[in-house]
Amino acid sequence: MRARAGAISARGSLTLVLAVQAVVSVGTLRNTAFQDEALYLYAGRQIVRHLLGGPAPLDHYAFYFSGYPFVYPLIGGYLDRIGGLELARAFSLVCMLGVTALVSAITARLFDRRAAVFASACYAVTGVVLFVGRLATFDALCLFLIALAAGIGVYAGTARRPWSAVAIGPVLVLAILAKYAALLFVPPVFAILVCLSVTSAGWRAAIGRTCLASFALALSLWVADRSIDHAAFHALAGSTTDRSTTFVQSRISLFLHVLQMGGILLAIGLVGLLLLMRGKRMRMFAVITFGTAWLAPAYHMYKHEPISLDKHIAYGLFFVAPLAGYALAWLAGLERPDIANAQRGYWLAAVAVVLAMFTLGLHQSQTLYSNWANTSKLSYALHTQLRDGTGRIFAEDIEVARFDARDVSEEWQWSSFYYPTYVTASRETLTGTPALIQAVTNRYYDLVELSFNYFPDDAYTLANQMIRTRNYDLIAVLPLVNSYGRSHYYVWRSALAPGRGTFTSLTQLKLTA
Amino acid sequence: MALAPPRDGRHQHVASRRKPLVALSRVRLLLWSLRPLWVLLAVTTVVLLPSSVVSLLRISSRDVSLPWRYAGLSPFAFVTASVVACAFASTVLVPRLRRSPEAAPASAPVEFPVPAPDGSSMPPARRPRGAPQPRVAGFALVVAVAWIAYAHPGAPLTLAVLAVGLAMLATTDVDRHQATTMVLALGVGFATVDYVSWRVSVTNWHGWWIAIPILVAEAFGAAHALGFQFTIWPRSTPPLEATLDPTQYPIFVFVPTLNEGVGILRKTLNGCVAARSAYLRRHPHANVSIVVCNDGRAANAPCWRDVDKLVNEFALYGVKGVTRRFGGGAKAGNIEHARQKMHATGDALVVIFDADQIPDRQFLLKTVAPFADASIGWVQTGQYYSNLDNPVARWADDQQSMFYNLLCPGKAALNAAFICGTNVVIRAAALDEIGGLPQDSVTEDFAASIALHPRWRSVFLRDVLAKGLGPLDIPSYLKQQSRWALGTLEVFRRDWRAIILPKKNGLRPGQRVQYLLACTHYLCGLRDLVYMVSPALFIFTGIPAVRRASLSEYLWHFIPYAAMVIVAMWYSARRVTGWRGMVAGFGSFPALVGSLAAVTMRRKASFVVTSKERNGRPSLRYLVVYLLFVVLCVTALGWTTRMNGAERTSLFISVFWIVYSLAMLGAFLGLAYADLHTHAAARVAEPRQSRRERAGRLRPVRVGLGALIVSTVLASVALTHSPTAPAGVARPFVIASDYTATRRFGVSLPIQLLRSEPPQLERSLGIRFSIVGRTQDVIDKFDTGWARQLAAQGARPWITLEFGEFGAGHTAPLSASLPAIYNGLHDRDIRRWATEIRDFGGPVYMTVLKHADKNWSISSGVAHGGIPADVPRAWLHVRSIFRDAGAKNVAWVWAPADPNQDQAFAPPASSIDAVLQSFINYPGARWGNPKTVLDNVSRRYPGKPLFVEVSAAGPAAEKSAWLYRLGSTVATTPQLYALLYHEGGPALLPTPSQQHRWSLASDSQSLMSMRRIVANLDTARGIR
Repeated sequence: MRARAGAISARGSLTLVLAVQAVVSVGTLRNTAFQDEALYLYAGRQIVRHLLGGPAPLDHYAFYFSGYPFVYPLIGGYLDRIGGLELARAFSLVCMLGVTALVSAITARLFDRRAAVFASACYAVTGVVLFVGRLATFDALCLFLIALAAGIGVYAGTARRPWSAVAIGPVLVLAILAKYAALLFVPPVFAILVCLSVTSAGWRAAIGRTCLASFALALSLWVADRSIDHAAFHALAGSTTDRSTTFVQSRISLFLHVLQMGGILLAIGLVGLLLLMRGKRMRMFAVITFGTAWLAPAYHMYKHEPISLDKHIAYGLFFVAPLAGYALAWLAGLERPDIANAQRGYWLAAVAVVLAMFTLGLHQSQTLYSNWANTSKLSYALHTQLRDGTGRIFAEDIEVARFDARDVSEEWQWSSFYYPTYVTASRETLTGTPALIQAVTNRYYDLVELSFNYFPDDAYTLANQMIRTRNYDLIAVLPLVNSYGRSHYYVWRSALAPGRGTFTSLTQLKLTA
Repeated sequence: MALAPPRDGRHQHVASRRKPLVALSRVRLLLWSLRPLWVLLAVTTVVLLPSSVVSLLRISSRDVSLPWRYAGLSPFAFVTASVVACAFASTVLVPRLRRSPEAAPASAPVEFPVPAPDGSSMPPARRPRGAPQPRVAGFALVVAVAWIAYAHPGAPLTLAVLAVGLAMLATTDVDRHQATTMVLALGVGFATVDYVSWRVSVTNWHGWWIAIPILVAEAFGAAHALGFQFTIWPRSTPPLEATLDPTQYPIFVFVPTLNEGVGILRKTLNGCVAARSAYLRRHPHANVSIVVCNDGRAANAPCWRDVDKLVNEFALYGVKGVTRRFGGGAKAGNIEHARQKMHATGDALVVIFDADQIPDRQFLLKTVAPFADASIGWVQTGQYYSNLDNPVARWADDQQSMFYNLLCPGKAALNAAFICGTNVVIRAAALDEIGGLPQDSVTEDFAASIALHPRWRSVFLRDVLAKGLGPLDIPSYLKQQSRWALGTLEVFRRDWRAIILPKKNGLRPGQRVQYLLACTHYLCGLRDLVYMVSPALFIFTGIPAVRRASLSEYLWHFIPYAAMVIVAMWYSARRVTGWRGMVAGFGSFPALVGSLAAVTMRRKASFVVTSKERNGRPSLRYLVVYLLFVVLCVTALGWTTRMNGAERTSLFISVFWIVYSLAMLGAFLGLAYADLHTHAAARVAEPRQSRRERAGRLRPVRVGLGALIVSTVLASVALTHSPTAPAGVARPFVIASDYTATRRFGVSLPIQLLRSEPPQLERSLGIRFSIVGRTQDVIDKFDTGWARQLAAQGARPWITLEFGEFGAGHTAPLSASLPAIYNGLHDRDIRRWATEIRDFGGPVYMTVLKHADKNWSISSGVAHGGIPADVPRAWLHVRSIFRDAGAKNVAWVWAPADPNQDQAFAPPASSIDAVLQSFINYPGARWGNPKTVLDNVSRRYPGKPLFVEVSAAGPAAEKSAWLYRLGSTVATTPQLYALLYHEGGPALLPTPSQQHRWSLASDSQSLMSMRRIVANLDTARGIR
């Protein structure tokens, strides 16, 4: 008599969860390009342009990017070229949808499809996950590749035949190339493979599969080493393994931040861990995955580093999501078929938990997404002044300014506080502050943009030089609102005649102490 | 006979389960004994947790360097965490500890034996180890609701509820219909919480006298929407435990009558006899008595003797009659009187039919069977109308259908289906317990149910087992509604403690909710009144109901809420009822408000039988109220045009509710019209038709609502889309082919002179202008009406397009710069201009970047950051957009200040259709020689048609002389295409005296000179 809801299969359930993740991400998170997005996509555009026969990029991106520039920036740059920033962000969203699907697949394989639905739902609605899915940076692709490697590890660990373990190596190397931080997750993926192999097939099989995977990894690393620009090793050390922290923060504050952003999922995952500790079969897996969730946050706490912590929390939550799914299924009473009856209403508990997580996640993702200033007004102002291929522009916020104005300017037109140079009439090459002072004196820059935000001291030097020379008109004061507070972007234009500029005093700026 | 279920078995079992508690630690025992405290703490958590988490959340990631903030919050967070832990312990852990380890081995589910009515142990309900308590679900839901109420996330929440709910239901054992109902109910629930909490947060408390009534009305509507979903939530009805043989009970069928008449009563008695026969055929040993309770004598009804005769006539079939001599207690008193007379007490079953309710043959067979369960107190069936050819009865039937086919089954699942006064079988012993049917209420049935439900179970059968007569006209319908409202509200006033306050062995929570919903249902009349009056008050007074809310924010919260309520209602009510049930309910608001007033003022109510036949001419007085409110709503809508746009959100909310009220009023007036029409036709009642056929007769409402929707849509379309010519490519305007020996003459004017000045000048000059020019901003619209008017007069428009206005201190906005134009910042507006001009279709002269070679131009190539090379680039960019849009009916007039020296600024000659030479002769300045200038321009732009625009102010003699020289020059300049005089002078905002001084008609001499010029321009034919 009962027309079972066969139409809504497990796959259908996953589709619904992915639909929520996609619609909520696209519908609620809106902002102009983040500094990192602007940098990577702009770099990618230059690389794509070069590959298509254009001039070589002026910057040596492999030297300092935290991922290899010919992996994500190439993809992002190409997508930006054909569809703009939104298309590049859509790629990240697709990657994160893939991660959610992998959460579901891993949970379904290790537990059941009910736990899989809960795991995917609670992962998809987490704030940092929604955030990473709307950020056109290395992270979404890297996380997807790590998740794929973990998924292959789970499959290889529980499959009858060992050969799928070979795929782990290349995928992990790709993940490392996408972002060097993926190195941190190589051991956990191997640990998952070993522990599941031991559980399902015994020690001998586990050793065999681990050797296969290790060999494939070594081979892939060798191929990568032969293929890439070795300047990437400098970037690997500088950005990841031997990174020097700029904004030092206390460990306790970082720990609290981790709890803020991922605490609920970690707490539910902890319940899942405790539940699984009762049995022998999944005990090791639970310990490994729960521990892996803390790897990236622990490294941040060790380095006192807050930068990118939010994104790296999402990496860890991927590993804890299956445990959380199992815990929610237990909470909803679905681990026992005899009470898995909708009319009893136990499942409402799980829905309520997910909705509460969703409400919090929505708020958190929106907060994270409004952390950087919206530069649409700055972009508008630049578009009223820029001439494609003519004139020089100096910008303190060069990443976003250059990216926003990519349709009306060339790479060579832009300068910033990063390694400024100026060649005088006597062919003397100046660098640093002297270069800036001389360039302003000679009205080298047609346009100057300062925000006194990232390089306040240098910005004051430059502003004072403009006052001294009276070579510039202050033409725009635009609002700048970010997580630090409220400030302004200032735009100057070269005066009609030398010494006749209208910018004559710092009091014309709305600067606060 | 023991009717109440024995409880001993359960007590024994609880005692046995307590044994293991001894083995538990004292701490655990203490936790368990302090359970009320944990519940209190849990409630506190619900309040504190969201604020704590959101407070933590709102500290941005950058602020984590400020540990003092965390220090300040940590005690609070600690307390919150402790409370959560305690609540968790009370709701999850401690109840689990109560289970016996012996009774619950690790692998086996714990079993809770349930006592059977005969005292033996029944098969236990399965409650496995590890399964969380229902309280966990409730607790989690309450936390989620509180959280959402705090954060009100808006539309995404609804999406998440639908998707996550459906995804999770897919993992459980539930059929598609139930899954859909549950998911929609969840959607309604969370969307309602989101909307109402947001709505409270933006309420304008300063205008409380408008804001609070509409807020309360909305909250009331939301609460009943939630209550509806709670009622229809799929639940399994508790199974009956058949332990007795109900056919042994004597059955008394009571048919109370007052003044219905023998014609109606005869059919009812026939039905009762048939039902009894069918029952006796199946159960020959049964004892069924049919009793007519005649109250006509006590009430001095004219037909009471006829009723007695009818009873005698039916005596052959065993029908008995009891005629009261003295009244009291209304219908309940009548039944109770007969019940005592006939000794229908103890183990008897009492069946009640109103005089117009004709039972089906199956009635007794179906309704007596459930009494095999000793706990069943009554069996209620639906009340359906047979006279559905009558529109009022049909609408009332739709309203009834919602109640009987949707709500009653849901109430029955919660053991809250109350007695509805007719078509019901009641166990006499239950009535005996409460002293019979209450005689101090006009809704004795409802009052009796509240008293009986704590001890007795009720059953509702959805089958159509009796049919009666619905109200025949709107006044009867309103009286019926008024009586029900009066009775129900009176019961609530009297028995609210039993419904709301906790009481040992009182009503269960689900029953309380259902009785509360039923009692407050009739307040919807007041709600509808508020929906009509409050928006109108806002419109008339300007005091808004909400503050600090944008329209988009309102829609962000309201649309999901409204959509979910409508969709959920539609889904559950499909094939059961329709919108006319809601309209009928809305239309009863005057009666309901009157009843509320009567109950509030404690006026004594009398029992009025719903009329079963029409008498005399229909009264139309009841329509006055509805018409008054229609007038109020229409007036308020008209008044909105006088409001400013400062309170857009409040205005939108108000207009929404007024339109809603108008639609409902219109539909109800449609019913009134149908009622009057039917009354005139006085058709004979037809047999009950199928629901499908009935649904097809919804014409008055459909027509009314359809007309409203269509008119709204048409009005919107008319407002948003002015008639335009078909899109495509305009007919090309090639100025060279238009360039003949005949020269054109016209004016260019500022906007303030555009309508008034040309006719005067035309009269003064005795000609018709063939070109009229104006300057517009790119953000303006192309004035198609003006252009068409010119075309009708044989003239053509000349538009000079600017890209902004000078600000304070004569500063040019950045957006007016030349790079801004060619970098595409104005493309949208330019494209719109192109489209509008293309759609106009007629020839248009267009100038952009006028005087861009000088620093006074807002889009200058020598000032405001512009360089000469920018000018042709911007010019070509604008032209390309027009070309791409297919606006080929534009001739481009290049207008530098000095065409002779514009080489650095000029666009390619191929992109120029004509060149403008301006003469602006200031008083006191040396006025140039027009011949020299025009000769030079002709040499600079050989073959290009020339526009000459003139403006002069100065002594009359000097001005007229210069004009005369100009006339001589233009007459001999072969390239001259048009001569225009610029009225108003060069000032941006000329004063009246400036306008006069710079006017063509500033003096008679100048005017005379211009007449002569015009004559020389070979314009004798006037219009060209």
